[in-house]
Amino acid sequence: MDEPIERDDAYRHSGVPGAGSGSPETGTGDSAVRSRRVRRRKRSMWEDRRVRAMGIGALVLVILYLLTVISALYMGLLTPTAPRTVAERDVMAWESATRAEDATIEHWQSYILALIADSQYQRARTMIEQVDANGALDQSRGANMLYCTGVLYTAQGRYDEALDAFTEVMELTRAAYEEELQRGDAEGPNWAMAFGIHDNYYFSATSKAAIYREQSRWAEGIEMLDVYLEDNPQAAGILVDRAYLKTQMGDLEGAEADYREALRYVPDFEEAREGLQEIGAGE
Amino acid sequence: MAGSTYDEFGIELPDREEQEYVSKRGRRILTALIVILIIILLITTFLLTQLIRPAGIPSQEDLGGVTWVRSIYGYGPDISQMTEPASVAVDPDEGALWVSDQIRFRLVKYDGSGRFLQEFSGDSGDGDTFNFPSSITVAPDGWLYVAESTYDTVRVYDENLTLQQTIAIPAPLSVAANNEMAVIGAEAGFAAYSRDGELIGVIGTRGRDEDQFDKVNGVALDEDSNAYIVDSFNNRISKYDAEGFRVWMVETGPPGNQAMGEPVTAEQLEEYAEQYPAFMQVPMGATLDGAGRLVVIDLLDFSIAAFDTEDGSFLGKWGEYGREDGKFAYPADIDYDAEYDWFVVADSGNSRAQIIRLPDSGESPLAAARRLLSGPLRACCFPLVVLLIILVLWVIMRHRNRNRETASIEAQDVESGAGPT
Repeated sequence: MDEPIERDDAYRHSGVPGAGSGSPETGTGDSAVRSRRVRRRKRSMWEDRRVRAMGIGALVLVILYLLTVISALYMGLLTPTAPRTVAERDVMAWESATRAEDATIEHWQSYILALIADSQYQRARTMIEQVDANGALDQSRGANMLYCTGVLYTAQGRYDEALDAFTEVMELTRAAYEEELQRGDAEGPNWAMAFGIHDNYYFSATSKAAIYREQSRWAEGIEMLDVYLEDNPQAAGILVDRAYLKTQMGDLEGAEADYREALRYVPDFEEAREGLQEIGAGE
Repeated sequence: MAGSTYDEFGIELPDREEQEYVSKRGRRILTALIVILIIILLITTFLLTQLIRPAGIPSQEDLGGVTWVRSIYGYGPDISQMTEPASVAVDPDEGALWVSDQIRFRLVKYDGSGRFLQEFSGDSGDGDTFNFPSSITVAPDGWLYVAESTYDTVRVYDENLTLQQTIAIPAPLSVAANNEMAVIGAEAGFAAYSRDGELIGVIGTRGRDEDQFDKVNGVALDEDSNAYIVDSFNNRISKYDAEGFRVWMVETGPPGNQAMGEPVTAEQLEEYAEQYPAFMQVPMGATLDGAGRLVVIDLLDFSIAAFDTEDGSFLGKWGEYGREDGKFAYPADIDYDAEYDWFVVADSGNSRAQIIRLPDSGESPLAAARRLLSGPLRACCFPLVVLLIILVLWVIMRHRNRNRETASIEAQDVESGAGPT
């Protein structure tokens, strides 16, 4: 890039003999001005040593950075071939399960939940759409992809949409169960009689409870945990969760009962013991 | 040419005036350019880091004081590459680790960053491969000891994996070795062998008395050949000196086999916690760390306890149960790598080997540097070497040009008659 010579001061401060006070040759006023006019020419900024040094420095920086990226690629850091965390292993395991010919909707659900746990939200969304479009996979019992959508929304912090999805899962799974049960009375044994309501019903209840807890909606949270405990009364972890919500509601008596019930099933349940201490009921 | 001068990059400058030219605009442009460049590089680095970094890395608070370094689930795209590893051993020369993948009758070697190095089936030419390798250790000089409880043998390989000897011992459960001897734990006690496989001595019978043992699932050996014996079902740990005399013994909990039958009540748990400071359930593998502590892993308490080797006093306990990385499910063995100041754990229930750190285990700046370079930052090694070379070349050229410039000024001075006579 060319530019006119800088103002006098640059020349004056350059240390060249005679600069600023006259011609370098003679040191007299008029001839100095003439001389400067003669010498005035377009000069490139690269003639400045510091500019050159800065330019080379920037170039070195870029080259080193590119070398680092190439090095990372060569070492396989950007493309790991083996799982590094349990979330990555789960993704790999369930992905291979879905590739099998006898892959079921449960395999797909596990795969999508593993993707969500590994923060691969976009891929999870794509898989949900792919499964929804696949009519061969039966979702009538568990509303599986709707449940996955609820989990995905929860992971993304879209709580209201997640609550709607979980509510719908609970309604659909219960309706499917009751319908099958009635049919069983007429036609004989079926899945509803053998296995009961689909697990996604209970998972949705606890997922809703977790969101309510996050939003400090204690009473609604307790209501959802009641749903779970009604059919799984020995779930010590859920009892402790409900005790916590009851504590927040001020129902210390109810909380103590839940903590003690949890300890009946798991005597060294640390959270239950700590909970009792917190509400002043510890020994 | 006598009047020529050169800049620090060796470019010839026509004269002094040219050299002193200042372009304010150029400097402004270059400064802005460099700032923008650095911002772009920082943003790209952040994005690349996010790409490399796996999701859901646990924090130390969630792991009961354990610092998770990395998990190893196997190698390649097949997810079933490691199933319930029984034992782990650090290879001191290479910062590598061996994992006993006993269900597949093989040992697998990984480097400190979790990369697969090699697989070893034990075959030394005669087709005789491992059969459930239950415990392994590597001596400081690289000799590999492999105990097979189903074969009643311990195979010893040199650093080139050539079979040196086979020691016959009933149901060997654990093994530790230094360069002079090996100690092998079994159901009814332990035995010491010299480097050439000669039996030095046997201690113990099966039972609950003081000098009796009920499954020695962990042994550790220090430089002075003191042996630390972990008696799993009697729930106690002892130290024996090189002569075979017991130095101390500590009870770490109620004997394991007593717990069979009635479930333990909450009251009993509290009593045990008071009676036994370490309160272990089934102590298993053991090792010595850089701070000289005896570190023992607990199969059913899913934790790691540390003891003073002088008197066996309890120093601390870390770890939590869980599937998450950094937590344990039925951990069977532990070993310590002094080079990196980290521990390797056979996390059997989670079918993985884990590399973790514990507080106060003997930190050194060198170990910290090695750890740093065992992670993604190792990608910076090659560019750093290049940068170093550039800097050295720059310093050399600058020095050379200064000398040249000084010589040319002196020559000019001599020509003008101003120089020294």
